Amino acid sequence: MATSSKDTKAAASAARARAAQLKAKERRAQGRNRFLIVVGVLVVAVLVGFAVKYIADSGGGQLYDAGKLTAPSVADASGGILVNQDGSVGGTAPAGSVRVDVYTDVLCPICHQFETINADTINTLRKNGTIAVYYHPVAILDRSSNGTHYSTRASAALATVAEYDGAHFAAFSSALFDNQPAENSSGLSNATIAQVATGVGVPAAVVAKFKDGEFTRWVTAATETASKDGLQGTPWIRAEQSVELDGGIWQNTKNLQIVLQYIHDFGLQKYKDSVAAAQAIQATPSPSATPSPTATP
Amino acid sequence: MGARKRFSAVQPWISLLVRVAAGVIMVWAGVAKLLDVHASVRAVRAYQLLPEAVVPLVGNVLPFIEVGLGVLLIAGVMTRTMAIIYLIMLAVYVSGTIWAWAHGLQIDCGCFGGDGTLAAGTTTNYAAHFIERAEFIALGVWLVIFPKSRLSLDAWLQPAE
Repeated sequence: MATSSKDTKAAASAARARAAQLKAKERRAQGRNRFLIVVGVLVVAVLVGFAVKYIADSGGGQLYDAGKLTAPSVADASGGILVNQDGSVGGTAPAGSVRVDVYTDVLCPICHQFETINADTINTLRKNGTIAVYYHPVAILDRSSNGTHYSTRASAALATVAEYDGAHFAAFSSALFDNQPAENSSGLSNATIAQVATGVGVPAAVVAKFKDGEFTRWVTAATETASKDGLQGTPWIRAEQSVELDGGIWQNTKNLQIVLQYIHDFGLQKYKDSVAAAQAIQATPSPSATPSPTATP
Repeated sequence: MGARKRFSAVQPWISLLVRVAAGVIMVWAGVAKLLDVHASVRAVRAYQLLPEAVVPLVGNVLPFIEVGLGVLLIAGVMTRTMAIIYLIMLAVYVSGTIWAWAHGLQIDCGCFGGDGTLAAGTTTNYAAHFIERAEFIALGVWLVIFPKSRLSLDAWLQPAE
């Protein structure tokens, strides 16, 4: 009796052990499954990410891209395209001129506003050698054209005209602003961009180069360079690559002209000093003092 | 039927909603950045917080991490762990924004795409931003406390004892 009871007990404990083993095995298998599922979900997530990125990059198949980075020979290392006194591009700035860098995105409405207000001033000062203007067509608003990358497409076309028909670069640039599409529309089609170029006198042979996408990668690279140089939005206007000339200066006709002429005549340091002095006056709480809005001399 | 019993019946359904909401926020944030990854890099740079050497890496990789985490949250895989990672990421984001605020930077957070620049004539609404962040954090905290939820891969893999 005693032995049989022992046997039963032993059998029962063996069964329990087996059951526990099975359970542990099952848990291990479950752990493996869990791991595999996590890996699977992560792989799917990364694939989804790449798919989204691919669709975004393909821009509805409208973005011409030569697939390699080629900079226009007329652009400097900062991505600026110098417009000379005679309207051609590239080369070297006239001696004694103030370097002015103009960063614009073709889709940015305030850049259009900047152009409208200041184009005449800048052209006059450029032609008489007071300033050397470097235009930076940057593409920071690509996300605002329904995935068609209008900023990049138009900027690449601008770079192509700069390289192969520099005399029409400035005219093409302002024509693109005159035909500026609304933000969050699909932008101008490639055919319309070509029409605008033809309209200002760009020869058909150069317009035909747009679809080569020769400078598409450069536009992206130049935008990244601009960002590293401090670009935080467009338009971004800098004198001598160190002083920002903000909306407070360029939004009123003549202000920009006065400031640039002052820098040309008296030097950048004197301009900086006068700005600092004006700010000091503004910071001083004095009821009688009339603070000057800018450093307008 | 006690309140506690009723709560334990309802809680997994609430956790399901919270899980999916947190996941959708993450996927949305990631996909919006992936639509213009170059802008995502510029947005990271706009905080002026990280050295230039790592800015492009963070700008490129972060959206993928967000999408991955979001998908795992929606699927309900290792919910508590994912909720903790979600909270850590939010902590990093909020620190970044507080840093930008403390330094008087006028930037857009770039949380859901964009490159950190504000539209002309607008200023950064830090108060609204932090209220929104508090809501996001509340979702994560709920999931850490109550990770058990309906329709999750966790439930499928580990049936209730």
